[in-house]
Amino acid sequence: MEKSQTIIQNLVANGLHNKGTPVGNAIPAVVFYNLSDLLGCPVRYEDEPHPFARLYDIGGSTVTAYPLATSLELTLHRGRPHKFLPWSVVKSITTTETVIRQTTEPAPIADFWARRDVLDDQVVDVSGAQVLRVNDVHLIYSDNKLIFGHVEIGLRGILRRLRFERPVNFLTQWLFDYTIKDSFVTWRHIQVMSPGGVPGGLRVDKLSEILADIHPAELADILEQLGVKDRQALFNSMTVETAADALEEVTPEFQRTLVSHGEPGRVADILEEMPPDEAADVLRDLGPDAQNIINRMENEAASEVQTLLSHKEESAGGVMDPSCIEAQSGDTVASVLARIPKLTETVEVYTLIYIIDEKRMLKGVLSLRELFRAAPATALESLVSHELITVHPETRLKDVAREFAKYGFQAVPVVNAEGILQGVVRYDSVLSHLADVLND
Amino acid sequence: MDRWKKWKSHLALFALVVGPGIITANVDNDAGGIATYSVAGAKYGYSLLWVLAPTCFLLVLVQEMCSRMGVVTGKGLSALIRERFGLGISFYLMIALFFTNLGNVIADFAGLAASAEIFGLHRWWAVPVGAFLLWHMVIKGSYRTIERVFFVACVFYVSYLISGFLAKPDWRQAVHGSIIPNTKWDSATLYMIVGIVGTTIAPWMQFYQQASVVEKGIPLKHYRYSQWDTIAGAIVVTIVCYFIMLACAATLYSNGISITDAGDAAMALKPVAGRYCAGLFAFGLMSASLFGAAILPISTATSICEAMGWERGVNRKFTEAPHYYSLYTIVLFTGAAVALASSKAMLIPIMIFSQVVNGILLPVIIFFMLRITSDKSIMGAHTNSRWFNIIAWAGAIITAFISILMVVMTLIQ
Repeated sequence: MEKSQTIIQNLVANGLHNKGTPVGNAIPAVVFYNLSDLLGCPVRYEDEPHPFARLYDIGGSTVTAYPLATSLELTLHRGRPHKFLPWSVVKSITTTETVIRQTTEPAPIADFWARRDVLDDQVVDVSGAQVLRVNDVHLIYSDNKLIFGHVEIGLRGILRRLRFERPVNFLTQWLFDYTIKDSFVTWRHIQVMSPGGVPGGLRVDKLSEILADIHPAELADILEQLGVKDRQALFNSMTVETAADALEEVTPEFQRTLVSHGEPGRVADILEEMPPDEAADVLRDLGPDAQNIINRMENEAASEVQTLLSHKEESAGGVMDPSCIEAQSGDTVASVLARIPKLTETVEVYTLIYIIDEKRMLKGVLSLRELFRAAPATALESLVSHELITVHPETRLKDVAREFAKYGFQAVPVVNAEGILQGVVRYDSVLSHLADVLND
Repeated sequence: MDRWKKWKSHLALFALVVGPGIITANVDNDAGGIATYSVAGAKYGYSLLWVLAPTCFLLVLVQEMCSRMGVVTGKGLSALIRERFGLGISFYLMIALFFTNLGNVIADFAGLAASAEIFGLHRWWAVPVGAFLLWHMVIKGSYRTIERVFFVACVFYVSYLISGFLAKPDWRQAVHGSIIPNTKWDSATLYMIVGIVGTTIAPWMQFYQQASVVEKGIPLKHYRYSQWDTIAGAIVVTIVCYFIMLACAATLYSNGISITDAGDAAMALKPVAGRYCAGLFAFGLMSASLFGAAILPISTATSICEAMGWERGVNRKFTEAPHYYSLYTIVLFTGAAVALASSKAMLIPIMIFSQVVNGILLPVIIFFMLRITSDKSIMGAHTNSRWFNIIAWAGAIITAFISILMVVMTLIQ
């Protein structure tokens, strides 16, 4: 098995040029097949001259990076149930016939079936971070083993299956001196999405690691293109952190499906990972289900989200981030600087420090740069500039944006009518809301 | 108070889900549809109004299956057909869909030209500008913007209701005609009835509604609101058809004026029903034509890309989804160009061809839909119930029979 895996790796690396024809000399050592050429071909027993069935499907095992065929599914005469056999019965397989031995051995349970789960279905290419529809599957037959090598995704696969390959190739050759090329993806990067909703194809424990390496925007793209079951299966196989990043990037419509199909406890964990304003955006579109999820969130996160939800979406209060770095005016520069590294875990806006009094009234704002330049023993009081730009929770986002445009802040503090600090509105959350408006 | 709260939450959820059903049903009333209903009203007066209620029922039956498939699987109809029935069948189905949709787009641009000329705009001006505006809207817009624009466009159908009232129909006869099938059964009448059913249930609608349900990401929990959407759409479209037939029956039929298309109808309404009635009728035709010409190319491109596995979606850029935008552009501008270049006489064989393909395609698609909606491995717990299946097969056979009848009769005539 190890040997055949290396052969495949080399073949894949060198590209496949002559499929369906033997490579090598007198005895064909390695033969390439297209799945579509094998399916439907007659099957006979070695000691009988006439075929008794047709090949319907080939099952594979995903123990290796390039799966091996483990099972066969055959169609007998009309109305009879399909027959399942282990791969070990195969004596030889060609595009004209498959010859098998008699057996009483039961067929092993396949991890995936090539026709049912792969051909014409969607698979995820985890290296290119895209969803593909499979036009054909390239199989490698060597040493009486059948190995899944690539999925074909290009026009050539479509043309071949429609039996237009020759005429179209003749035309493009004659007109433009061009041959339509294969376009395929190696099986190593393919994630088969099974109809049962169980991701197969790759070893599942590794899948969450692979997904964590994909950019959240690309993950979102993949999720949006899959069907309900596959989408939910993939979403469930992500870690909570990956899922939170991906959920942020998905359109509001798909956020709603992902969240309402998810298990409320897990959804609550995912939402806790997200910045509170993003989490509130997700919950806002959910109707009565939102409360059910909020109830399962940690107290602090839940109350933050609740506050945001009580404000209008298009206002500062609706998008503000309740967590920011606060300090008392009596604190020294050194003591604040010492606290910051730990706070960066939970606080998004860590370059601005908000000075409050004992009633949480906002007194001033300092930047991290100012802290670095001051002597460590200085009290914050003496550094604070008294010009303070603030907004109220009711301030409309358009007006908040104007403040940003005018002063070029990273974030602007939100205070209520009494001047008590509520949170900060980040530049990027205003930007993402305005981007929605611009798109409309 | 409590009941009010419950209603409010129902309404809020409905508001999140509403759209696909109502929009699809309204686009169904495009130029071709309006022409058929106008001719039916002008030729048969109030006597064919009863056809609309059963047609509405068939429409709900078919469209409900689509939105159910969309919500349960999260995949479009052409993707499901490809996965369940393979590449070969999907490919030829998509070719047929391409041509019948193109025929509808041509009809819509012809309708736009006719209605623009009633308002004194030259067709060589109105059609290119209209086509370019629609193209620009889709290339630059997002799905949500477009949905909103379409939603507003649905409101314009009210103009038909008003023109129906302005035509001062004889309500007693109208009610009588809507309840009692008092029709002379000859082949011309049959052809008309078949035409009404055939334009009301068209193959592109199944693909379009399912695709927009998917794009809207409607969760299974909220499916019942989606059902309301489908039913509301079918009812709205039936009311609009009713008033179009009513307006033409009250004016053209009673004065013995015969017409062949919707532009004719608007022109003919002027002397008998007044300037406002005719103006509203023409305005309705114009917005319906634009509406149809906007949606059909999108639907064509989406369905084909989904079946072939190409990137798709209004939310993508041209370079991200080149096949999608190329198909969209080809259908839109070919439609506009053919409508502009052809005289009325040249359009007739094109329309007949499109209707024949339409009629052959519909039963095939309904058959596939019934197979898919009965398949447990695809629909899980949401397969058709036994009673639904009996009714749906009966309805499907009737619809299939009618559309095949339409093909045969169209070819004979």
